[in-house]
Amino acid sequence: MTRFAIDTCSLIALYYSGYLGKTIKALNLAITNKIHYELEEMGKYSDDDGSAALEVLTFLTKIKILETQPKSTGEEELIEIAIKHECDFIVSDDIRAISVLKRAGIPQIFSTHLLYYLYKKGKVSKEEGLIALEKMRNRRPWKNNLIYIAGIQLFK
Amino acid sequence: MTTQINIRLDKRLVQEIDALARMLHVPRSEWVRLKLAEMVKESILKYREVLALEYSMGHISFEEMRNALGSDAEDVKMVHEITRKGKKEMDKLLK
Repeated sequence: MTRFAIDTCSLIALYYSGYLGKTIKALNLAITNKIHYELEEMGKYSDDDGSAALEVLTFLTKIKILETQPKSTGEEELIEIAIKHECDFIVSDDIRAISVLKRAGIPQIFSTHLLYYLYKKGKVSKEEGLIALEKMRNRRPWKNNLIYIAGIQLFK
Repeated sequence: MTTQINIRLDKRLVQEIDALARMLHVPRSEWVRLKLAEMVKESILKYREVLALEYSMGHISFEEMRNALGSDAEDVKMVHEITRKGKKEMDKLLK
């Protein structure tokens, strides 16, 4: 089964979309210890992302945690498991990580592609998909929200 | 550095602005300046998002977008390309 290694901001975005549960049920998602740690650290803050991180942590029993050599960022650990062929795609909504992942030659997709998968599988309607994108976009400022603006073309 | 501009406003609107400025204990011109700055900032953000969407939908060219967004246009293009490429990958997976 195709495995998707997913980063912290994509998990948060999917939580905001309201479809994190459905995504976990439909797809084989994996994280690393660093991503787990990042969620725990984020959960210490009393802002929206902090609350979302705490909610995401409750889903982690259904997500596989892959073992890696500890690295300084979640992206670095995701690259390592991709290089070791332990996952087929990296799901990252971090705009700053795009060039790093590109240089490493790792197949990268966004959380919006996982929503697209649910849509094509008939698990969410076109309207639900577009509303989910809007919820994700609303939570992010300019540039970080580009992914959710571009995601609209997936539901055309 | 500031530049003076002259605008004509509806009398009723000026009365409403004056009432608000009095309530907030700020001079009329200061209140108008602050509001104008807020509106411009908000409009620029909305305009950028609309341009990114128009480009994603193929309604405007990269050049047109770059003229308006500057270097941010490169990021829009990069995200658009990954979205398109990722869609193909997901379609393959769904077959």
